[in-house]
Amino acid sequence: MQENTPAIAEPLSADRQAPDKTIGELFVDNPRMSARHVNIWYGDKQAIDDVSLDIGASQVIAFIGPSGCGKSTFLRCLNRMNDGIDICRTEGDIQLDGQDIYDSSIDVVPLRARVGMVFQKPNPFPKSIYDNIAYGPRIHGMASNRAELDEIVEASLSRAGLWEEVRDRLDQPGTGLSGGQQQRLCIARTIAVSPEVILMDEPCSALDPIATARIEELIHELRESYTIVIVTHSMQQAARVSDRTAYFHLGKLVEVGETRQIFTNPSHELTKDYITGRFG
Amino acid sequence: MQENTHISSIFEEDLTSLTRMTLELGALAAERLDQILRALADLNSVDLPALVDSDGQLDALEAAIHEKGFEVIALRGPQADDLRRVLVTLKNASALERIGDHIRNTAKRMLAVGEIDTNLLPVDQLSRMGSKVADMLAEVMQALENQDSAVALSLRNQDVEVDAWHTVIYREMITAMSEQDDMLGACVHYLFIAKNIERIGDHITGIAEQIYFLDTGQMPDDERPKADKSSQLADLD
Amino acid sequence: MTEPTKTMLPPDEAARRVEASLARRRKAERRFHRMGLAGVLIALTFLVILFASIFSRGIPGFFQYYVELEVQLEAARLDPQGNTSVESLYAGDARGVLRAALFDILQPSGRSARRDAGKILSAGAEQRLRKMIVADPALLDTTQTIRFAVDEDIDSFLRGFILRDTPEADRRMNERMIGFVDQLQAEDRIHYQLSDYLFFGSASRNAEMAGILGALTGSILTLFICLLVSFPIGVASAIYLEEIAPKNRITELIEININNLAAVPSVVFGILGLAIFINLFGLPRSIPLVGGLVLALMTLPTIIISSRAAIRAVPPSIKDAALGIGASRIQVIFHHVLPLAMPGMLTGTIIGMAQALGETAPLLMIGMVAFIVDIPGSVTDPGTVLPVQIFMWADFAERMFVQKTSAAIIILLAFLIVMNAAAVWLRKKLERRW
Repeated sequence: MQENTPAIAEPLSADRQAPDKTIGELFVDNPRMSARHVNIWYGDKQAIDDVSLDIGASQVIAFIGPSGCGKSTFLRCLNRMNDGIDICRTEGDIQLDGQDIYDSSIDVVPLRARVGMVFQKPNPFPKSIYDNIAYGPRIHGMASNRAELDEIVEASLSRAGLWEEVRDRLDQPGTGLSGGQQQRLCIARTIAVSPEVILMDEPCSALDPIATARIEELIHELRESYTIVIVTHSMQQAARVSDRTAYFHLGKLVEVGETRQIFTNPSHELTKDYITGRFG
Repeated sequence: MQENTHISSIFEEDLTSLTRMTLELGALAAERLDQILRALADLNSVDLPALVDSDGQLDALEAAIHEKGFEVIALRGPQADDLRRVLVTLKNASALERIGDHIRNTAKRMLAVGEIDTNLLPVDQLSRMGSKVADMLAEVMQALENQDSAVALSLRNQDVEVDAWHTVIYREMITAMSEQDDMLGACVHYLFIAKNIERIGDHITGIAEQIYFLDTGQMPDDERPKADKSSQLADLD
Repeated sequence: MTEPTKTMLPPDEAARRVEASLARRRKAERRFHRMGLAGVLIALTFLVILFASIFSRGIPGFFQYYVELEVQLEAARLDPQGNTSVESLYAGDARGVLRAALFDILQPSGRSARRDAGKILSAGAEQRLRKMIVADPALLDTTQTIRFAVDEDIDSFLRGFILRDTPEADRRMNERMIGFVDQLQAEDRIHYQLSDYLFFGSASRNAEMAGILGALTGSILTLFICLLVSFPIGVASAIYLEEIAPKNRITELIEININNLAAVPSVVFGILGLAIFINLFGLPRSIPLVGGLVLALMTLPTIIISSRAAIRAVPPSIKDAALGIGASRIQVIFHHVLPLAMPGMLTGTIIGMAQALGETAPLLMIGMVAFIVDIPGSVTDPGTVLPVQIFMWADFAERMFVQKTSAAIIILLAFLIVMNAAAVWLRKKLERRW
């Protein structure tokens, strides 16, 4: 497997320290996922330092922070994508619906059907549009015949706002679509296996503003049925799209709160500096 | 008005609710101005103390508009027309709230004056001045709803009449105060009432200018006609 | 503000200097361009010379001289037992029938004259006659006009390699034989036509009967075994090394060794094959099975290296996407990585096969140099391969062998070009754009 070891940012001057205890509302009632005292190491370097956080059900939570702060690393441990990186070591308790996902009895394969992922660069399979969507349900045995599979494909594409555009060309390659359409295809592919949580790692950074706006509107529509965690390097996007925002800094979780409050009146110095652009 | 709706539906909702709240605030102010006018004709026909106490309603609504506007700027990042709309809404809410304050002040002073010999006092002129301002308020709220910058511009000119009335009342009161000492207190109250109504007219003009700004992106550049010469009156005898 | 210690060139001065240096740069590039062109032209020239010499020597190898005879196919003489069985035909006198036909024309007088006349026909003529009868018994008791190959010496004479001027004692043909040949030519019975022996004949000491069919079959069988063994093992090894093996010292060691194996001289694999397959396992020598196994050993590093490169070329984003959907590692490999890597793997395999086709040294080591006349029917029948056949023919002195050797080289080259073309076509057809 190829290694994707991210760069760890240089530490700031001594007078700006992250707090020992995260500020804000970390915990919610009836969370979909919860993390307690999570630490992640890449070899000797610590990427995530004692992070505890709840992911609320049917909500959108955004992870923001400067490059190398660990937000993507933390996101990937929620569906155990970090398992594929040999030098990555995860400690702590992460639960999905009350079940520890790092327990030795848990099989990663069904976990990833329940916690789906959309990546930064749209990555449709080099297959037809239909087969792209149908792949997940096929390997998980979710449809017993072709008719059911057709239904799942149509429902997923409709939910992703792509059905009308592609209904007449389902057998054409998925890679022939535009960037924004490809990303919506990837979202439809993720939805097709009926996940509970959708993780998005900077899903719009490769797209133009209009495609981005459409995907943000899609996220807004999807939040009723799914729990969404989105990592973004655009604060404006976090402001537009999320209900809660978590600010990461050098592996620590500095502040969590309602998005409205974080962007109008953040509590911690570091959060304020980052959001107002006074960072560094 | 922009023809297309925003891709983000919540953005669209936010902008709509800002406009709706402003219209609500305007309706509240207009209704209270109406009460003042009726009280001018017949003091007992209106519950003035209740009017004074319920001013908090407008303050609360203005605070809500302010909060919402703040949120829209922080979270949605409005640009161009959207940005002007938000800023204009905040300014107009402020103006409408000030109008509410002036109404409250007027009501307090009317209570203080009480039943007075209406022959001496320019109740008639005040009523006509007040009616004019009430009409202007109705017109400007209509212009706000329809985003009619032409109507808005014409409103600026109508304020001349209000200013003229104010100058007239001012002269009369000064004359009355110099001739009849025992009416001094009442006259001063009436002066202030006239001033309040004149200020309401100015605020309405301000709202009209904001409507023009929202539509065109620029403030109207010609000086609006002013006819209030009261501040320049030196010869008071 | 402190004085800057280093200054930049103002734009107009910089532009002037660039302009000034332009001439020098262009000259250098023109020189490079010309050198490259010269190199290409020299290479092309050598290529043209090479092909010209091969073709000029090889094309005649595709043709042979035949003599046309009217043969009376007497059933009684040819098929004494009357059942057209192989035994009956061998018991019969095909040779006599042919000689009768020939003497009919030449009318040789005396035993030595008849002996000389008999030498004109190829030794394989009678076998050909027998085969014809077996194929079509209705021919018996008819008179047919048949063309038979002439003997290799006559053929050489007709091509001009044996000269009339040479003193008779130094020639392989005497005057009488030349006279017979002249007579046949005068009667327009000598024909120069495409050789059916080259393609359908097998190994033979007689040049006119020599053909490549046996060697070709042996090559095909050997390559088949090689492909059968090396492709699955090579692909599986590549998958293991790229996708499954942990990144530790042992894996590194395996990788280094495989890369080095690709550079090992092929004859070493022959020695290895000799030691293991023949001495240790006791397999017979000179069979395509062993030859295929040896070639497989040799081709494996090539396949592994090219397959690994093909696997590495699969974008990791595709694998991430599949993993994110909940595919297991094995499903990711077989549903996504392999289909995308397959064009590269196939191309590498075909190139490896093309190399194996031309290998001689390791096969010599395991004994596929034997003189085998029969065409191998299975992988366990003794056989030889095309390059080895060429190698053996090159040893023989007869002029005709020289031409047939060149012809066989042309056939081998044609095969290699076809295989490489197939690799290119396959790559183009299967290449997906993502």
